[in-house]
Amino acid sequence: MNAATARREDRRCATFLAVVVCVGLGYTTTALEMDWRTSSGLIGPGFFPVVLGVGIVACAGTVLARILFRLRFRPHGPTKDAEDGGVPDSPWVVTMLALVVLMVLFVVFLQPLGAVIGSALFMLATLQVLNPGRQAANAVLSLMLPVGLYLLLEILLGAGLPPGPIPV
Amino acid sequence: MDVFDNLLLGMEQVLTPSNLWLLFLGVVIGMVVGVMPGLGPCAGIAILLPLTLGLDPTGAVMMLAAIYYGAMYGGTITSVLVNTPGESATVASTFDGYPMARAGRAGPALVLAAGASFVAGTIGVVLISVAAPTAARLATSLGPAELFLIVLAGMLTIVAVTGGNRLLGVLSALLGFALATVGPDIGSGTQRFTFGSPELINGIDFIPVAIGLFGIGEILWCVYGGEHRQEVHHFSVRGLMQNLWPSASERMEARWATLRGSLLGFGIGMVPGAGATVASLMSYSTEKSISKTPERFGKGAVPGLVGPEAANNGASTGAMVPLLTLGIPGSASTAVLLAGFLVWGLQPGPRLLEENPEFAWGLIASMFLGNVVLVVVNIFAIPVFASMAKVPMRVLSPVVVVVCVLGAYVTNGSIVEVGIMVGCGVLGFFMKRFGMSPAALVTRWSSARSRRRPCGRR
Repeated sequence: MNAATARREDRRCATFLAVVVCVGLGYTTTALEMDWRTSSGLIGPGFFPVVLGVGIVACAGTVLARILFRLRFRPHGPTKDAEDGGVPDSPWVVTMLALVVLMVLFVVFLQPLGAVIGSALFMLATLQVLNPGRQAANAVLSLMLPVGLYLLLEILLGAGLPPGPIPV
Repeated sequence: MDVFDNLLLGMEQVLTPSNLWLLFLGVVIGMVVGVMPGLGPCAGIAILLPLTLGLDPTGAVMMLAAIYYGAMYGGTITSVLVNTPGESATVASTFDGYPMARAGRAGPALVLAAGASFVAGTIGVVLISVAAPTAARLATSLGPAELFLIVLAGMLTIVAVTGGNRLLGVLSALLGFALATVGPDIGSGTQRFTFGSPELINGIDFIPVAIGLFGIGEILWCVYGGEHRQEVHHFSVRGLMQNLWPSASERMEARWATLRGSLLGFGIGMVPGAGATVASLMSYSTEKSISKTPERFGKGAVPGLVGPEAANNGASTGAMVPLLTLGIPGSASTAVLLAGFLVWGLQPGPRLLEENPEFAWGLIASMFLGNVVLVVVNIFAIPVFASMAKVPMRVLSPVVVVVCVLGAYVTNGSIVEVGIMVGCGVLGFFMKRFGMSPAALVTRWSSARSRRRPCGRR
C-alpha cells in the first residue's frame, strides 16, 4: 500500500470509527437515563449498558485517536490499522452499492409484491448487474429459484411467506 | 458403563427414519454450502436456520449440527481442488492439498481428507462422551465468579485469535454485548433501547443478525473484492474419478498424522475461542516440525493435508464440549448453533445433560452417525460436489440474498427483522472492511443472550 492510498484508507477508517464513537455516545447517554440500582439495592437496568457504552467509546476512541495522530504527525509512518481491513480500494464499490440499493428495494416491496414476484424481480435486476449479457439464463434462474423456494418454504414447510397479489 | 448407556440412549433418539433422513440432508446441505465460494459453516447455519423451524427440536438441532460439520468438510473440497478455502479453518488444507491436486492426486487427497475427518470425528465423539459429563460435573460446582472468569477468558481468547487489531476485536465483542442489552432487563423487567417499538420488546432476534452479518455481509464483501468477476476454476471431474484411491504408502503416511491431528484438534477445540483455525494451523506446524522430510511440506506431503484436516474436525467436535456443558460458544459457527438451540427452547449449560439427556446424547450420537454419512457421501459423491465448486459468484450472490431475505422473513413473519438483517449485512461488511470481527460480535452476543433467557419459540 503506497503512502497516498494508506492515508486515504486511514481517513475512511477514521470516519467509520467516528460513527462508532457517536453511536457509543448515544448508547451511553440513553443508558445513563436508566437506573443504576434497583430499589432493593441490586444492579439496575442501566449498570451494564453504561459499562459497555464507556468501553465502546474508549476502544473506538483510542483507535481513532491513534489514526488521527498518525494522519496529523506521521503522514509517512506505518499504517497497521488501515492494513488490517484488507482490500483498501476496490473498483466494485458502485456495484456493491447497487446491490445494497436493490436489497433495500427488495425488502421495501417484499410485502406488497409478495415473495415470488418480489424475489423474481430482485433476481432479474441483480443478475443484470452482476451477470450481464446472459438474459435468457438470468430470466430462467430468476423464475426458477423463487418458485422453488416458494414450494419449499410455503407448500412443504408452511413457513408463511408474504403472498402479495398471488392468491394463496 | 455410564458413557456406553448414554450413547445407547442417544442412538435410540437418532435411529428413526425421519432423523436419519434429516441427518443425511444436513450433511449434504452442509457440504453444498461448504463448497460454495464465499460461504462457510457460519453463513450456512445462519441462512438455513429458519428452514428448520417446521421440524421437531431433536431433528432440527441434529440437522443443524450436520450442516455444521458437513460445511467444515465441504470447505476442504475447494481448498484441494481450486486452492480456495471455504473458510479459515481449511486454509491449512490448501498448503499440501492443492499441490497434490496439481500433481494429479486430487482424488486421493480428497479421500484421505475425508478419511481423516471421519477418524477425527469418531475419536471426537468418544472423547466428548467422556469429557462432556466430566465438564458438566465440574461446571455445576462453579459459582458466578468462576463462570465470569471462564466467559472473560473465552472473550479474550477469541479476540486474540481473530487477528488484526486487538482493540478492534474487543470493540467487536463489546458491540455484541451491547446488542444483547436490547429488550427486557432480566432483573427488573425494564425495557432497554426498544424506543417503544413492539418489534424489539423481546430483544433483537438472533437469526436476522446472524444471517445479516455472515450471509449478506459475506456477499457484499465478495462483490466488493470483485469475486463476481473472477473466472470460474476449471478442473477435470472425469480425471478425479479415474484416480480416486490413495496408495498404500499414502495411507501409511496418513495414519499417525491423523491420530495426532484428531487429539490436538479436540483439545484445542475445547478451549473457548481457540477454534478449528488455530487447531489446523497448529497441527500443520507440528507435522512439519516432527517430519523427517519437512522439505516435502508445501509440495504435496500427505501428513500436511491429513493432520490439519483431522485437527479441523476434531476441533469442531471439541467445541461442542464448552457449548453443551457451559453454554459458551467456542467459535462463530458454534455461536450460531447455540442460537439454534435457544430457538428450540434448549438451554445449554451444566444441567443440560441431566435435564435433557435424550437431546444431549442424541446430538452426540448423531455426530457419530453424521460422520459415517459424511465419509460415505464424500467418497461416492466427490465429483458431484466438485462440480458445484464451479458455480460462479455472480450467479450465487443473488441466490444467497433471496434465501437470506426469505429465511429472515419466515423466522417471525416480520419485515422489520428483514430490515435489521440487511442493516447487519452492511454492518458486517464495514466490520470486515475496517478490521473488526463479526465472529467476536456474534459469539459474545449469543453468550450474553443465552445467560439472559432462552428465547424458546414453542
